[in-house]
Amino acid sequence: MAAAGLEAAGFNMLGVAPPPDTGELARHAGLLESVAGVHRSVGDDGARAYRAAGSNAGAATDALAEHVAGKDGVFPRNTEHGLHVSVAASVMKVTFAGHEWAKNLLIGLAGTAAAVAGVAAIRPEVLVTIRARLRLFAQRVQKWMRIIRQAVGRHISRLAELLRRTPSKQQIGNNLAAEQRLMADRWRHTLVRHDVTRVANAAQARSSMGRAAQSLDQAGHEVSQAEVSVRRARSIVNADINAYNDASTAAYLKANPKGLAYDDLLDYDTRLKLYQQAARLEQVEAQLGGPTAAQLAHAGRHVDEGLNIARKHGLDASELQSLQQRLNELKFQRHELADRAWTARLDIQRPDDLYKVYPV
Amino acid sequence: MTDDGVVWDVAGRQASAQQFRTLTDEQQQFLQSFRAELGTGSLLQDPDFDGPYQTFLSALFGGFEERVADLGHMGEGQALMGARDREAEKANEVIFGHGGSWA
Repeated sequence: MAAAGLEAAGFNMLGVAPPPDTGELARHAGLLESVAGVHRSVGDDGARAYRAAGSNAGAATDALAEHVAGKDGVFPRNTEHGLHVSVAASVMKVTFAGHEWAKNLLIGLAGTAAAVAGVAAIRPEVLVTIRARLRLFAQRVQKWMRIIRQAVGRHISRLAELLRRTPSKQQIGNNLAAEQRLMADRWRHTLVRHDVTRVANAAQARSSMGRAAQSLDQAGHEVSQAEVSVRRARSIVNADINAYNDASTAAYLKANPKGLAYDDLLDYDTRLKLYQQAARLEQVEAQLGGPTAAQLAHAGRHVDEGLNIARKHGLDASELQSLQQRLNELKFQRHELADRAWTARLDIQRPDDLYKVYPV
Repeated sequence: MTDDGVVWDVAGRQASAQQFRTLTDEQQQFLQSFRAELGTGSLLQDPDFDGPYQTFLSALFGGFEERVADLGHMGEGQALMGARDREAEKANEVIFGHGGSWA
């Protein structure tokens, strides 16, 4: 207290204000250093958090990578800020050191001034000279301190500018918006792909069904012709059988009809024509059981697939549903035709009779 | 992995979102305590120094706030992309699960 009082008296004699308290300066330098440290750890933790999603790939991921690590990205800016803060902390420490040195110098001068004042042996005119010299020196030290503060102030201003110059929130918002737009586009793209798949399935089903329907038309035509021939031949045969006087033989012949192609009751040309028709029917059956059945199965797969996609993504399924209905009709038609062709062919060439009569 | 080089890692995105959220909270708390500790008094009672220093501090706070917001956005972005990825992943199973049988 006494020393402080002496110092105060000394400063008074020097004609300068006591130097400012530099404790706050030191504390702030420490705080800034801790902020720079936090910047570093944010960089590390952020990079780690970002890497957690690192196995993702694609356009949206690339956009995010640019936002995060690209030029003016989140991480590089963080690192840059940390650097500025670190520099500021160093500048503050230098300021503190300079002030401490100047302060100690001033305190020493004040002490000297106070001490000199207490020495009775010094002649007043000498004391005035000493005081003047001490004052001059103290003022010079104070000027140095001011110069240091001004220089540091300018430096700090520059650092503030650098901190401010980094991209604003607006740009970060833009980056993020762009990234989310990309995500939305990607999602729309996926939906469009579903729709394309649905339409492609419908088209595939329609084309297979068209081919199947064509085969069925042709088969239907052939089968009908054969059936007409069979009916006509059967009526001739039956009329002949009815002409028999022997009722039991007639009944037997009716119950065990021969293959029409081999029936003696028919003339040669009729039998030959029936035989040829049976051969055609065999081909029709092969067509219906092979390619046509495959076409319908193919169409069925695509209708199912398209319906599945439409249901899952809420797309319009009405076309596929009508295709499914038509497909069921075609399938039924195929079964019916195959059945009729087989029946007509059996009427013409019953296998039991194959060895009995062979035309031509 | 799809034919156009897209990889979805939904779990990774979610973990990333969570880490960013934690980081954001930590930074928010640090910013508050940092502000409180600095106080508002002038350091050296010299406008040549105190003026620039206050400007520097406000720029520092501003930058810090932006960074906290950035980290928050990153977390939200990862969570959002994780959610979208999940949908896209499901959708993709439908497309690619059939091995292009109609092609």
